[in-house]
Formats: sequence, C-alpha cells, structure tokens
Amino acid sequence: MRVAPIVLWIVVLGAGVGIIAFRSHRTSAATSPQSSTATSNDSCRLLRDVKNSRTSGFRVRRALGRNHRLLPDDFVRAKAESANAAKAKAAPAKAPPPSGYLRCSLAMNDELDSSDVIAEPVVTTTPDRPPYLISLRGQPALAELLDVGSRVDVWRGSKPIGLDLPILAIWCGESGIASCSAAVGAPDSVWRQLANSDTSTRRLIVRRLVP
Amino acid sequence: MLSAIVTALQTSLTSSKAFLFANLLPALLFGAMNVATAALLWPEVGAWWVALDTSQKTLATTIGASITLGLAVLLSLLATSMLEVLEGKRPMLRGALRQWMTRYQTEKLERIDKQLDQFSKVRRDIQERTDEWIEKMRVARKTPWTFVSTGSTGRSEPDPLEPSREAIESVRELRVTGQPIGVDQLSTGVQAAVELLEQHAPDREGAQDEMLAAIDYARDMNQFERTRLYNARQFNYPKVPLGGSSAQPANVLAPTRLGNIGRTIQSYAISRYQLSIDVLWTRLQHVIQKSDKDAALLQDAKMQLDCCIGAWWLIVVYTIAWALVLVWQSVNVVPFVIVWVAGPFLAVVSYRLACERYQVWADLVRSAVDLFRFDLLRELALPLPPGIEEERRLWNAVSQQTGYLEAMDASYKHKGP
Repeated sequence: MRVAPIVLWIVVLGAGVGIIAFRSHRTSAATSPQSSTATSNDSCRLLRDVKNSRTSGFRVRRALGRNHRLLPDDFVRAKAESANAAKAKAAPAKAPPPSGYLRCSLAMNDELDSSDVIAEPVVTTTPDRPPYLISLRGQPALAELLDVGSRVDVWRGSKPIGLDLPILAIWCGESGIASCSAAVGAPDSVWRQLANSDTSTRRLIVRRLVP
Repeated sequence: MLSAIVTALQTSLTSSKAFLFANLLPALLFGAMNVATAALLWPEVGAWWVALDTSQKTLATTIGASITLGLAVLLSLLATSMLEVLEGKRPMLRGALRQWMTRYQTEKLERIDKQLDQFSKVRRDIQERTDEWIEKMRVARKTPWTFVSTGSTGRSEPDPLEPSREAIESVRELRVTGQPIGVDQLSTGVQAAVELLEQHAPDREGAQDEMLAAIDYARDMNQFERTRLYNARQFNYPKVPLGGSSAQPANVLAPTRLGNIGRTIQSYAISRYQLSIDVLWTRLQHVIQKSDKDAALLQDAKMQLDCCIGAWWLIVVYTIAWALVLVWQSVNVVPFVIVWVAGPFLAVVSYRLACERYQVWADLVRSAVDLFRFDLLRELALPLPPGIEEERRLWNAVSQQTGYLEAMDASYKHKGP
C-alpha cells in the first residue's frame, strides 16, 4: 500500500523530466546555429552548396559559430596538401581573407570553403525569444568583442532592461565598425521595453564571452 | 463574503499571536518561496525589481504585503475546512481513493491489534512458565556431584557444555541489546542453564543468574512493548468497547491518520463517560475558557496544528503549481527535480508534524473532558451523579437530548443566590 504513492511520485518525476528534456532538446536544436561553436561535422556543412564549393586557402584559428562575422584574425593560410591540394591550387595564392558571415559552424583548424561564407547573417529565432537589433554605435569595441553565443545585459540609463540576453549575430554595414549592431534574443517583456521610444542612453554590459 | 473576510481579519488581529503564527507565518514563507523561485528561474524578475524607483518599490511592497495578509486571512477562514479535508470528513476524498486509504488504515490497525495479541500471549506464557523454569533450575542446582571419567586421549576434546553456554550467551545478547526475548528462547536458555547446573560447571552460578535476569527482562520488555503499542493504538485509532447490541459509530475508521487521531477524542469520551464530544464540544469549550491556563494550552496546541496544516496545503499548492509551470516553461530539468523532490518531502514532514500536534491537541481535549465535565454539568444546572454508571447514563441522556432532541428526564439543580 505504501508503494503506490512512491510509484506515482516516480512516474510524475519521470514524465516531467522526459517532457522538459524533450523540449530542451528541441529548443537547443532550434537555437544551436546562434550559439554554436560546435564542430563542423554537422548537417549544416553537409548541406552547403557543393557545386560552387571552392577552397579559400585559409584555415580557422579557433572554433567559430554560425553567423560569426569573419575577421582577418580568424584565419591562417592553409598549406596545399593531400586530397584538397588541387582545389587549394585553384584558389588565388595571395587572396585577402574572406569577409562576411559563416553559414555553418567550424571547428578549430577546419579549412574554410568559399561556400561557407555568406554576405549577411541568417538569424534563426525561437518564438519565445524574437531578435531585437541594438546599435553598437556608442560602444564600437563590442563589435569585435562580442560574438554569436555571447551574453549581455542591456541597461537604459541606470535601469536594467534585460539580463543575460544571448547574442544571435553581430551585423555590420558598409561603413565599417561604427555601423555595427547586435541582434539579441529577447523575451517578449524585454522586447517591449527595448522597443519603447525612450531617449535615455542604452548600453550593453558583457556578461559572458564566447571562448 | 467581503464582510466575512473583514470580520475574520478583525478577529484574527485581535487574537494576534495565533494569527501571526498559524496563518501569517506560513503565508509569508509561501510568498517568499514563490518570489525566490521566480527570481531564480527568470532573471527578468530581478531586473524588473532593480528597475523600479523608490515609490514604485514601496507600491510593489505594499501590494505584496496585502496579498500575503489576504492569504493569511484566507488560511484563517479555511483552517477548519483544510483540517477536515485531511481528516477525510469532506467529500474531496471519496470513491476508490477513499476506499484505498481506508483499507490502508484498517490494515495498519489490524497489524497493531495482532501485535498486541501476540504480546499478550507471550506475557501469559511467560507468567505461566516462570515458576516452572525457576523450579527446574532449583532442582538442577541440587544435583549431587558425580565424577565421570572421560577417558582422555590426550587430544583436545570439544567441551560438551559449550552449546549450553552459547545458548545462554545468545539470551544475554538479546537482553543487553534491548531486544524482546521470546518464550522459546527463554525455554532453551533455561534448559542450557539446567545442564550447566547439573554438570556443576564452574560458571553455573552466572548461568542461573543470567537466566533469572533474562526472565525478569522478558516480562518487563513485554509489558513495555505492550504499553507502547496500546498507547499507539489508543492515541491513533478510535476504539469503543462493544457491549450489547448498541451501535458504536465512533469505532468507524477514517481514511487518514489525522482523521483517526481526531476520532480518538470522541471514542475516548464515549467509552469513558458516554459523553458525545461532537455534540457538547462548544459547551465544554465555554467551561474550559474559565481556566486561563488550560485555555491557553489548548489554544497553543491548536495554533501549532493550524500552522502545520496551513503549511502542508501551501507546500502542496507550491509544488503542484511550480511543477506544472516548470514542465510547461523550463528547458532545464534541475529546477523541476528540485521542486518535485523537495516539495513532497516537505509535505510529508509537515503532515507528520501535523499528526504529532494533533495528538497533543487531542490529548489535551481528552484531559479537558476528564477535568471539566463536572463543571459543564454545573453550568447546565444538572445535579452531579453519585457514581460512574449514573454519570454514563446522565451524559448519554444529555448528549441525546442536546444533539438529537430525545427527551430526558432530569431535575435541575440551580446555583444558590
């Protein structure tokens, strides 16, 4: 007789854990491109445009997430070798490092393919955290410091508006670093406050950087 | 409804100690736990609070305090109902669940009754055989000394009395470790002591003393366990001895432990005095309140009980609500596991505390029945009965007349001018 409540308790515990784990898996699957610094062996890279694929002649110095804004410091020149030798020869010998955004995440030392680079970030969102674009004009240094997966607090004047918001992309226009904006994933309540037409100075405070 | 709340608030604040401890304290803890959980799960809550200016914070604090006070008043209003649901009096517990719970209580009671019967049987057996065991050892002690050559071969022979010593040692082990000793174990021990005594073993005196001590211990231990079980039965389950053809509804078990503790009050008053506490409790309370100390004792015990009952309900509400919210919202398993493990654990703890507090309160009410029943008769202007049988008849008549409008024949005895 004593066993029945314990069994019921375990069943509810198992069901709850199962539901949350399922949702967690689904959410991480949906948001992984935004915060990923994972290896390149994901489906994203397998699905790239193989027809137009061309080795750029560069390897990445560290793991880079999807939508990462490419900077010259991200690369080292790759040596022509093995199976990719022919393609590498096809690449311009002293071509400048590519600029743009990563279509897929890359692991450290992965070779960059021209089809890995896209001109604009593609932000995938979840319904509970729609993106909001915050200009970095007042804090241009953040454009190089922040990356996809970093987390920030947003303050307006002396009041915090949103805490621990994820960076979905750093988007920069034609006019260089001064024109950059950060796309943050914001819950509805924060989104509404961000959209509020308040003229106080808005600042980002870095909470966590991507290693 | 509003006037009822206002009245309850006024009454509660005037008897502030009980209100503060039994209602406001659980409500405050409930509010604090909810705010803490929300702040831990949603950083926006912390950000929202930090973003408020002083006047907004004052307003928010006032609203929070008002909600807490309102919850405390609600707890105060629902105190009786919450207890009655846990006692199984309300129809919330019905159908298969009620049957299942009642079966559990019945089987628990049957186990206690069975154990009591076993202890009674052991006691009888020990009583019946004690003289026989002592006599056997006395006779064995008088056995004349006889030398028997064992025809030693020079090798080390096993001691033939060793099993007897081991039997006595095992009885001693039970005694010194505080375990019950059965009749069979005593019988074996006595037989072993008899063998040592007959063989004039060097440790024969010690063996006899050990067995005499073991017999005394077994009797005392049996009585101790019987008393413990009898008290557990008496303070946890209703029991009115059946006599004749009269029905005893007070014997019916409730589906919960709390309910059965509550029913012990009625069964006690009925079995001792034929006094129906269900009918006469309010009148008895009126008499008890003339003694400040006794009324304060009852009030304190009830206050502690109400606190535990309120805490149990709030813990259950907290656990279910947050478990649902987390299953619905969270992507992290850990908060759900913490809530679902800690919540039921705290609910079990608070329920057990409530049972203990209810036992204390029930005992105080039973004592009040013993001590204040004659004062109640005086208040009712009824003559004091000369003996216990007359008293039973009188209380039965008063209970029937007051509760069920059955006419009674009695002359009043009014106080003098």
